Amino acid sequence: MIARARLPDVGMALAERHFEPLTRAGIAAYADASGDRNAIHLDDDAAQRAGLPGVIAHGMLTMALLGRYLTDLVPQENVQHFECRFVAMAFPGDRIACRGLVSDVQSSENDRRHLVLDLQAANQANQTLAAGRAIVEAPAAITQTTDGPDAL
Amino acid sequence: MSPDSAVSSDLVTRIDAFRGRTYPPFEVAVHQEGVAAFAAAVGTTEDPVPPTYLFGLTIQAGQSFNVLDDMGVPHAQAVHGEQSFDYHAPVRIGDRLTGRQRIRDIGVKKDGALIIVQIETPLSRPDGAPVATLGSTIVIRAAREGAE
Repeated sequence: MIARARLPDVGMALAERHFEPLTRAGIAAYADASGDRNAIHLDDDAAQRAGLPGVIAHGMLTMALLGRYLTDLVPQENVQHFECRFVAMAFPGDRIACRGLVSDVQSSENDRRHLVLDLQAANQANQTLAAGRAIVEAPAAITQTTDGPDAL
Repeated sequence: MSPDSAVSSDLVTRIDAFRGRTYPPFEVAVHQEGVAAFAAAVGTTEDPVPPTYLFGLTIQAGQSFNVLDDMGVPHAQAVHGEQSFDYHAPVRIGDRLTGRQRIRDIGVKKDGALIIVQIETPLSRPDGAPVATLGSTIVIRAAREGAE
């Protein structure tokens, strides 16, 4: 694993990270762990009755991966806000990539700096699945690890 | 007006009555086993508690998507459109949290074909200290009702 620390600045790209493909078993494990056992995540027939080609991953599973990406970049206690808009569905077999950039640096009244991070989760066709944004208290440096793909 | 509008307007009226509804308070515990299972499912560690785990806690407390049941909307007719978290204090294993869900706003898009439900759920410690505020946007496809 290669770790690299850089001072965060506006426009700084965050190293892209790739995750291993989503699996039905992995989606089912997320369903159990999150408590969201909606049948469209577990049963192809139910998903098809809902007009889907088959089971889909939870949007919140994609957000959890973006969250993992985020908290590997900055200490979790620095994260003040984290939001995500679910743009497209993720399916078993999809390989999710997370990327982002520092879109703004703000100075607050107590002289602490905050970073606005624009985040994106995309599939192997480079279609955006989720568009995220985080506001974090600026760490001294962002440690980027480039390795992969990362196990789910 | 699209042909679907007349069909969906009853649903819009029914759902709009939920605007501003505040649900009874609920309580959840942050269990080690629950956090560990969640962390394993997303490939991360259980300490610190993963930042999106709190949404799962609301589901486990019977909140969030329960608004669809109350509105009489099948879950398959709705999608989770957006989710946000504002963090005020760290969450730790062993914490007991209380929450109170509120339907912050209800809107309509595309001539009534989509109903947008915005839910806000503050979580706090028993002494009232705020821990996090969750915001969920649920999108209901209204035109499906009786239109297809």
